[in-house]
Amino acid sequence: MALPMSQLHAVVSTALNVAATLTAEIVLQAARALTGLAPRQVRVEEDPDWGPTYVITLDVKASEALRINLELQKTLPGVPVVVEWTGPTDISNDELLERQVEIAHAGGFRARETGGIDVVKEVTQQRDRWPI
Amino acid sequence: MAYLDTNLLLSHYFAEDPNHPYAARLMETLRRRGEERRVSLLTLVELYAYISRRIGALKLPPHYARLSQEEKVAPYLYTC
Repeated sequence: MALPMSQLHAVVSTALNVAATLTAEIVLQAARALTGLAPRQVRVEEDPDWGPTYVITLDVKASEALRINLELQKTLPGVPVVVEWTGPTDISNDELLERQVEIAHAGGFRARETGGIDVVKEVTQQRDRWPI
Repeated sequence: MAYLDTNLLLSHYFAEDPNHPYAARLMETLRRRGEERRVSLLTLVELYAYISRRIGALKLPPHYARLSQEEKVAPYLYTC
């Protein structure tokens, strides 16, 4: 039996919400197993480009939060997991960036080009503008 | 030793580029062979110029959501 479009939309939306809730529970359990701590908060943020993103807040310092984030991201590749911390930021900004890159990479996340890309053309044009 | 040009690094990074499959295959071959890979300062400048010019059209993974606009260029340089 075919559903009217409005009902179909509602069914798909409900299914996606259920899937996101289940995934949030998996992320929560994985975080508990890794840290032995109960996360302060787990929330699901809908990202227009990447879908549901799971944001966990832990009462730890930055270096520990990023270590846990890396482990979680290795455990759950393809599921965007971001760990926030309430403790002190005990690492430099450069180190923070390096760790975030490592975490995104572990999950298989790379930036996406949205406007169409032709690297050879772009780089050639750029070089043509430079003085010799 | 292999010298890596800007074109190769960017094509390797961006799956949307038409040359990405070739670049990815080449990089994987170099990695498997254990070949030493080098870039020049000029290449880093070109990478930075390209990415900072296109930053508005790029969709960064949510892991970088809290970075400032200026900081958002850095992950590309680390990853490339």
